[in-house]
Amino acid sequence: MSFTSFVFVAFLFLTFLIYYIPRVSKYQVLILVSASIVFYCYQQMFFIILLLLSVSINVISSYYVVYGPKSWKKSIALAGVVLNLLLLLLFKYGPLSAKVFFSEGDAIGRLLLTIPVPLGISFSTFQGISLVIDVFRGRDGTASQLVPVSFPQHIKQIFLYRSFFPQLVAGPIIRAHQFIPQIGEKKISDIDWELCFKTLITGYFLKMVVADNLKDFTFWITYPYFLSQHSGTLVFMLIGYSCQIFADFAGYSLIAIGLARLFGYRIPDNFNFPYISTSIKDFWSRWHISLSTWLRDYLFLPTAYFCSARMPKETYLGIKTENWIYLFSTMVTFFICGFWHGAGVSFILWGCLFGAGLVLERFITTAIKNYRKRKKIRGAAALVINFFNWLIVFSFVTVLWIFFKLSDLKWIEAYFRTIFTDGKLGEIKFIISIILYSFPVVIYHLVYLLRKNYWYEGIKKYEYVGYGLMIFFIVTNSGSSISFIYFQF
Amino acid sequence: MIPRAVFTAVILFVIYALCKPLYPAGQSLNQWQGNLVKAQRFLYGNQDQAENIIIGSSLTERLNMGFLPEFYSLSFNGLSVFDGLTVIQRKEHPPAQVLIETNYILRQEHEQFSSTINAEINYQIRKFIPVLREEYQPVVIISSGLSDLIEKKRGKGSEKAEIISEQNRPDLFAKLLAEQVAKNKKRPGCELLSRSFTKLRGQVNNLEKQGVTVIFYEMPVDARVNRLPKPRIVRDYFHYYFPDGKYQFVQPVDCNGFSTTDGVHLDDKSAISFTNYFLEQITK
Repeated sequence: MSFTSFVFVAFLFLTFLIYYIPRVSKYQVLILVSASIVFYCYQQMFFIILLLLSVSINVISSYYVVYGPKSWKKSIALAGVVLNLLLLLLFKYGPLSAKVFFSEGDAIGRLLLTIPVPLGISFSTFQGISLVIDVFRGRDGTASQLVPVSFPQHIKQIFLYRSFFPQLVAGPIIRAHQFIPQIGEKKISDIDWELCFKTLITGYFLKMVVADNLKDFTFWITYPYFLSQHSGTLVFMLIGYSCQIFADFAGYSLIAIGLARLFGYRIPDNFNFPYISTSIKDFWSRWHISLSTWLRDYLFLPTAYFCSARMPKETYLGIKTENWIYLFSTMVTFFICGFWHGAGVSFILWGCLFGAGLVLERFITTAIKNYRKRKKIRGAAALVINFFNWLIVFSFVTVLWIFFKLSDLKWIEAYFRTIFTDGKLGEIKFIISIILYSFPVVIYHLVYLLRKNYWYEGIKKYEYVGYGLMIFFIVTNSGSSISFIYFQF
Repeated sequence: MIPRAVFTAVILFVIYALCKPLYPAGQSLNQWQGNLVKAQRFLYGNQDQAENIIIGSSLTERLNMGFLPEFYSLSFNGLSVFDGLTVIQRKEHPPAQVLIETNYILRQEHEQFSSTINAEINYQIRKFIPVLREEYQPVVIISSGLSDLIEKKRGKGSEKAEIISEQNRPDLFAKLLAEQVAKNKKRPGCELLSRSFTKLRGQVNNLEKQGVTVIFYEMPVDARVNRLPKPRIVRDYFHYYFPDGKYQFVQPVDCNGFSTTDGVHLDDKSAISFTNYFLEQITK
């Protein structure tokens, strides 16, 4: 059930009406859980069993980590994490395992190849793992705050936390301590209608007008068809894809946030204007924030702590231990990040290149910072440097998105070879269309950048014109609806 | 804020709708949109006079319609004949004659396309509010206008994607041909064949019940592709499901006389040549 379909609008309307009937307000959690199950079944009926199994693992493991025998806590938490990971490995990486570990005629291998990827399994599993770990660590609020003594109450809460339909399929990956304390009776009068309106309109505009239209142009980033295109077209298709993937996922996240707000739940922002970033580190603090913070908290920092506790503070090959640890932890984290996005070499390479970029940036920026301090670079010169930093980061990120479109390294090489050898601009109408559909993404970031100017407040009075325009374009200029790109992850 | 935003949208929409006579019709920006525009112009336009409909894939799209003024083409790039049939079924008035391409019969109906065409709410809204049709999208109009302006200023047309041929880009042509050979070398599954042909026979029977004459034709492809198992099996199935005496077929041509841009799509010269042959056969 796509957020952009009429069926979803009807489903949402009905759920909303039932949810806020005063007489049934004490059943609000059950209503949301039921609605979420209907939402999931509409798309993948069979896999509801998997979702229920996965949630049950979390319910039991998190409960017994808190209220079970103390000596068992670690084992239960470990079992909870391992079982979550096993489900992910079996269902998401089954086909890859079949190719790597089994021969072509093997029955198990053939079975694994036929398993389709359940919707949202990567997001949902990461939420489940974070719950078990947080409860085990007892941080981010006491464990008993997240896990009530009453087991039925706990079941209800965890089911809602794991299955809440606005973020069930593609996140944001919300943490238990962010969500569970919010569970309670909600009133229609508490809804911030203006905020919901702004969030939903922006989200739907980015998805339906920008992403859904750009996809019909970037479609041609397909082997071997791109080989007949000219350099200019290939470059603009890449920029268009960069804007499309942002509009698609940021649009989805905004819709999810707006929908959750309608039901009285706050979901943290998942995007913070990532294309204004002037460093790769900055980019990852703004892009898919819920994933990057998850990876930081549950992978990067534990790996770094683990290494630093075991390595003496010395210098190897002229590089300090702390830098080696950073390098290793970053590469491991981004390797997993790539693998999380897809069970393919191109995704792993995408992750590793980001990791390598971050490591390289750390060494370069330290040198640049020292230089800027020494030379006291300020004003226009600093602005120019910032612009070039932005250009480098945007180009780096945009170029790497090609790994999401082309799965073979030879094709990627052919794509860039054609860019550098053809030398022609390409079809003007095609390029202008990409520019026009990418333009809202530029405006979106510009508005954020310019918000601190004195004249911004004067313009802000007329923001309703902007929202009116977005509604106008949603009505008159929506593209053909397809699944959100991140649904496949 | 919300009422003011909604009011602004309504005002913008009313102004936009009132200006409709100023907009150029029939424009599209990409392949998908081109398909929708073609379908919508057939559905909503004054196409009841179009008595001869050609339906097919991108192979048929190469026919030079300038030579076929009596015909309306519902051939869609990237789609199948089933999509063309979906559009015909949506139309209240059936045509007199439907010509069906046989090459890509195993390509299934495009769900997104058929749901766009068949969605009742969308259909009715676009029927009564023409500015909501694809061809009148604001960005289509702006982009087309801007590109015309730029091209005029530059004094030359834009560089469209290169037309490949075995002569001008032998390396690329070889890759494209290899792709087609790989696709057509595989024998299609019996289940797919029987499902596709049963479906087609049902739809053809329905058309015939409405008094429509159905004629099948095969677009020529590269001879190296033409002799592969897939096209051969498809041809056999056609003659089994639609026996020669009962159904009409345009006599297939010898593919050796035609050249393509990628192994399956005719180049301009061959397309004109085949269009002439096609017209000659139909009018016989």
